[in-house]
Amino acid sequence: MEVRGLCKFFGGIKAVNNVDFKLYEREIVGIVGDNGAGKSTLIKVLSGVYEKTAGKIFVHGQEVEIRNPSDARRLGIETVYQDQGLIPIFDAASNLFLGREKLQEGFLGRALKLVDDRFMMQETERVLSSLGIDIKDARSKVLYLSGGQRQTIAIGRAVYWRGKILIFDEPTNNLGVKQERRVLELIKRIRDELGASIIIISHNIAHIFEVVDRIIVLRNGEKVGEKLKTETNPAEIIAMITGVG
Amino acid sequence: MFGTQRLKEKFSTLLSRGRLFFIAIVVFFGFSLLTKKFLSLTNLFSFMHASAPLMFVATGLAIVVLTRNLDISVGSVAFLAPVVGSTLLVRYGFPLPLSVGVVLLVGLLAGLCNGLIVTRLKVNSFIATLGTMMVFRGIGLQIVKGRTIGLPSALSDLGSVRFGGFYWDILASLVFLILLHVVHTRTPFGRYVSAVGSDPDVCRRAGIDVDKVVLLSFLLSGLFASVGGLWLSVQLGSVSLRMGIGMEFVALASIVIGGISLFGGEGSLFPGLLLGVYILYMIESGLNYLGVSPYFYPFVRGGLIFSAMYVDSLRVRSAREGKTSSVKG
Amino acid sequence: MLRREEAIRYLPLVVFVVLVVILGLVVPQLLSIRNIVNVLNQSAALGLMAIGITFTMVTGGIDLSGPSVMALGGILGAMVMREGGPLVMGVIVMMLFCMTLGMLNGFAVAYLKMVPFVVTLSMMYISMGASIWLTREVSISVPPAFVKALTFRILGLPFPVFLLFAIAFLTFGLLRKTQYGRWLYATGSNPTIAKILGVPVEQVIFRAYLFSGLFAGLSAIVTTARLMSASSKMGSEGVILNVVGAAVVGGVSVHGAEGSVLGAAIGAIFITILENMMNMMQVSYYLSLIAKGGLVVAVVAFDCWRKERSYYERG
Repeated sequence: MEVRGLCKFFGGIKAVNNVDFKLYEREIVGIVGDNGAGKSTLIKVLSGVYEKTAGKIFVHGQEVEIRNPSDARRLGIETVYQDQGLIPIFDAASNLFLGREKLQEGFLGRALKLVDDRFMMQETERVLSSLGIDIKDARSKVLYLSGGQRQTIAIGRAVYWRGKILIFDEPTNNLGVKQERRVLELIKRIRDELGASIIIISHNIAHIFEVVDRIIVLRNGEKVGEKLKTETNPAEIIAMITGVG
Repeated sequence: MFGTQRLKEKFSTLLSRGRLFFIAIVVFFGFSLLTKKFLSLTNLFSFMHASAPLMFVATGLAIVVLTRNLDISVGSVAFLAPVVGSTLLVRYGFPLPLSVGVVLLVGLLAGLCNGLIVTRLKVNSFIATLGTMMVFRGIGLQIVKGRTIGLPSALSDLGSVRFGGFYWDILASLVFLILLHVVHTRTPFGRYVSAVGSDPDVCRRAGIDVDKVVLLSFLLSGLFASVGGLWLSVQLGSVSLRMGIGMEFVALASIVIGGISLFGGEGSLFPGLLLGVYILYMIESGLNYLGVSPYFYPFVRGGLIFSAMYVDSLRVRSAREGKTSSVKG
Repeated sequence: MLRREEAIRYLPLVVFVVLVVILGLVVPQLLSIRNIVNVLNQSAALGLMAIGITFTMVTGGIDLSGPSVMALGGILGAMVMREGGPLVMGVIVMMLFCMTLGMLNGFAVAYLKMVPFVVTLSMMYISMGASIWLTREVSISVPPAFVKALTFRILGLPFPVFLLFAIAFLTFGLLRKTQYGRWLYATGSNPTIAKILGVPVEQVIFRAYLFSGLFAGLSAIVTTARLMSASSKMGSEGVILNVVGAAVVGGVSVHGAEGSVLGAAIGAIFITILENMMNMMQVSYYLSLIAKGGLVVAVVAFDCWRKERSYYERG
């Protein structure tokens, strides 16, 4: 994916101003910046929640328009949101398939739009067990699960729908130490096993340095730096974020 | 170019502010043209007199509505409070000032009850006051055991005291309204009321005790409802079973006509509510003179509430659209 | 099956059931077959409306206009039949009219994004006003053939009772198993996320209010048949209190995304049972008013308290 000159303005506020970057397959890019730097806005534009004000977006070399979340999904862009974006009273399968439920075949099924729970549960269990979730937990309502399990289900949702470009918004927020570890390992596995392109937004520099291949720094809506992880260190990144030193 | 823009803005503000005056005058002259009897000072005074009890009730209710809540129980409070007071007066021979005091106390207690349920138990104000509406009426009916209580003539004569056509209770209702209007516009409490109605979350974060403001508004509503009920029974000379039924409906209608928003925060008591009450009464008495059946009135009131709400929502929506465009991602 | 946090939601219902059982033991006539059948018949209308309001409550909104729209629909249908229109016409008028008003509400809430409370409140008032105006507070009687057609008995139970049970179970099953049902609860739980994931939130909400109108229409048919007339009293303020009370007792939360139509129907049945008991025990009408008002407020307060608690526990 490539982004050129991307801008998102809200009235007089330039939340994202003239940002360029490229994203290759099988890599993890970390986007960092202070609060209000524009990271959230940037990924919201990429995932279709906001519409860009100006600039171009290219996927596989082709220019594309992303006007709403469905457009983004159609391009293979899946997002794992902060707070997971799960419905607490639903089980994992219902959450995975929310908005894209598999309907039953058959006359009655199609007429009433009955959902095919069996299929959805099978698929869900398949995906989740490969990610390390117990089948028993897959059947319970999401609100009874731990933060780490919920995060895994959210990730499972992005992976199941063949996200080629995965966006993680603060994936390690509100997680215990052990769960953080698991999530980070999971993200690396997704890159390696599925060859996905991954964007991670985080304000936790340590985590960023653990998993990413490249780091992009935003400040006040503009890109102020881009470095390969191997060519930089946390102090330098922090300096770029704050603009000091 | 710039000058005409400013001029246009000023004109539209004037139009929206003066809109109520405009409507009042239109309605008044409209009906005067339709029936000869309308255009007379005595007529004017007579419906101002008739609307005095409602004015009290609506004034208190308006404060609650400004905080984005509802008090549907005002009709039942306007029934219960005089019931208690008149029972003490007539059946148990309590002195008059004490009975009146009890009436006001009942109003305050009812308001307290409503306020606590809404702020402490966090029940939606409509449901809460709908429940208390039934409870209060039940209590009142239980006390009178299905009979009407007649008030001593000395008291009921008080209700029709006038100076050459001008009833003194018109003055009383106006005074109370203006009093509350001053509270609304000049005191911190009054300003909190509108603030809470506009955006309770912002107020909470700003440190305003939203619950206390709401509680006080219900206290006022209960108090004023009891005054209104008191006045109504004095005017009628008795406390009857059906007193106050539907009063909240009429009060609400006059409140929305007066430009007070059901969404909270917007509107004023003076001249807003004042004109709202009078316009409503003018419409109804005008229709009466034209021979329209009184069964049409609830529909008129309902229609007014309905259309005022839609008009109001347009205003709310355009304000909201203006707000979101300046929010950062 | 149900964890503790969820089971608490049904506490008021359990209390109700216990109360009914105790009273039934004290006053045996209450549990006579004839009385039970009578009560079930009475509860059909309330039950249908409680089912209807559940749709809107699950989305986090509410439809306060149900009873008054029902009354107006009933009145219009009765008037049509009085003028000699065929019975089927009367039924159609009631259904279509209530559904149309439901769509109006739905449009305002879903597409104009207005606050459901205010929208349905004003709809309640305008339909109340219209009912009073059209009837001049006199009941309009309904043709006996209509009454006969709708109150026949199957296996000893009146038709409306069957209707209630059938519809309650059917709707319950459908909401659990259909895409719309999933979307309805998702919308109530987190409309933002649902929208992002592709759920057509506006459509879902619109249809919820449409269903509310539909069930109001059904309730109109059943009520006018049972009372053998249509009147503006059918939609008075007390009724909506009962409807909300029935739904909340049945486990539906005012805050959305919780509860089922089956629960609402059961709640309606038990509220009617309690009312009936108070009646039979000759509790004064006035006291019953107090009891009903207090009860509903208490139940809704419990719902709010429960929500507050779980909020804290979840951290």
